Amino acid sequence: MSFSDSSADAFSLTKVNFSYPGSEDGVRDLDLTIREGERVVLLGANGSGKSTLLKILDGLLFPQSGEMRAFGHPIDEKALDDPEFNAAFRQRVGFVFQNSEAQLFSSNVWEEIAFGPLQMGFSVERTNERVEDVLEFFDLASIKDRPPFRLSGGEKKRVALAAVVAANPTVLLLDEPTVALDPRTQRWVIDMLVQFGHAGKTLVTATHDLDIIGEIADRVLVFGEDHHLVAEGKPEEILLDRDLLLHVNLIDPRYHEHVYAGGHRTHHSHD
Amino acid sequence: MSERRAVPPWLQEKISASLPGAERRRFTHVGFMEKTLNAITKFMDDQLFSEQIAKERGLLQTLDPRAKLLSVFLLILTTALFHHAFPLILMNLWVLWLAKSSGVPLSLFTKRVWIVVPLFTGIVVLPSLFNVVRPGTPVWTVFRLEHPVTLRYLTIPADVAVTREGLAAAALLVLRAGASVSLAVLLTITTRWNTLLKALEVLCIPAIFIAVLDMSYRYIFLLLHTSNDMFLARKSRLTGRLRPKEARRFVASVMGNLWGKTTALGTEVHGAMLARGYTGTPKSVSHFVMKGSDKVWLALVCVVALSLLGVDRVIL
Repeated sequence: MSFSDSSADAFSLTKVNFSYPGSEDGVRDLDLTIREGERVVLLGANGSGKSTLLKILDGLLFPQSGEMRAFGHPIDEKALDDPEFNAAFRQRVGFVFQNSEAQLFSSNVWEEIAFGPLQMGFSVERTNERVEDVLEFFDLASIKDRPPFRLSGGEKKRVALAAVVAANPTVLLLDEPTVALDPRTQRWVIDMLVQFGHAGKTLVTATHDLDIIGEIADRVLVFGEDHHLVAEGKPEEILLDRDLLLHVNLIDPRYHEHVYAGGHRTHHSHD
Repeated sequence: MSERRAVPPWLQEKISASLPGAERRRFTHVGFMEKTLNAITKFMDDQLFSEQIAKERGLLQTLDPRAKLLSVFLLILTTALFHHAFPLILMNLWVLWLAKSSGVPLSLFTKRVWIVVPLFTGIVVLPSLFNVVRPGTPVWTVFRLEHPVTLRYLTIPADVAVTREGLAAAALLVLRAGASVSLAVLLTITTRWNTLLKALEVLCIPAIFIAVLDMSYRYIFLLLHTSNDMFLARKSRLTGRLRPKEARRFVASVMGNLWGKTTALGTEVHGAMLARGYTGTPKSVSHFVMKGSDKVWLALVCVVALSLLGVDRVIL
């Protein structure tokens, strides 16, 4: 099986349901299409199912009912058991986990970045070249020999992103990429995502940070606390829908952010 | 979210900001919590210190790790073949010189080796010092019985004594263990741990074992940090000394908590590996290059090993 006959849809989900054993968390009755080259933000409060959806899109979890297709091909355990298909799918879809500690499992930065290309079957020379390029692009050359436990939070996030990008995926799935980062690293991540968007990558970002979606999304999908997709639209439409944001627990009535179409924002409390 | 509730009265009570004068005790009780925290900190410090030594530009640090591993393996094997103390003493002295040439502080090196070795090997060889286990020429009589006592398979002579043969065998074993442990310590202290693990490929260790060891080492640090945080959080809320029962309960809860975290992390790490194309076969790139100096080193080690073996078998 190959991806050469893929349609323009990066992902299409039909009536997808997933819940964890003994829990109601997950996603419910999800119909969704993400086009290639599109920048989509999954917006929702904690526990609304954003991370679960990313894992489904990455073929790490499989729907209990419904169907998930990537590039026109159904994605299930059987399909990913085919080594050729698995390698092709994994190369096209990269996943940046929220927890960098889980993402960075190699013993140093160099090996972390080399992991993906090596698994994809790159030759040693090509892997070396790719890692050197990535180290330079992400400005990580000075820390290439450092083990993960000697990296700061910001450095870990940069390495995690670099390690995933090293395989040159078509789609980047990002779980809360700016959470717990200092402002400068947050800005660095956002600028990097904007750059990837310009390079034609499909970006699917799960977040509850309203400040960043205007820059990194063409379309926003809003998830409710009942794990249903409750709305979708352009970032400015979603950000101006105060009732929707209140309903899905993304703003608080006493303290929230006003977002105006012109991009002018003010913070104030309603006491 | 529910409506904001009024602050309960107890939360509004003011506690005086001034602290009572602390009673200075002569002896401070060091509880299990401090001991655990100190042990974790010491482990981290040791690792950091070893890493610093591994970064030095000493004799052994410049060698290819595979050449270093092979040479240490060969030297330990040779050490096990010696029958006399003299070549063992020579080997120990040579290892000390190697440590010095590699920038390893000798005081630290000798402490690491010569405190541990006599302690553990001493316990093993202790019975063989006496004529109860190994008959021989007595050098020091410990006590006298009225007559020899026979206990099924064991005969205790009337004069229970330390023998010359027992002392010689014990010295030989301690010297042999000392040389072997010195070589192992020298290898681990002059090589970064992940490099050393990668070099195991030269001993034909399967790649999956090396990958598992490598990841275990990486996550030990993360879990140590987590344990450290849990102990510190508990300590910050401790207002008195913990009773043994409470301490046991706390340690059990830390263990349970860590187990849960480890399992969850393991699942997430596996997911992260699958997401990047892992299919069960680890692949890695080796950057090791066997230079001319490494070959010279291996030849030198062979010459030293054969010479000492010659001294042991032919001359002595």
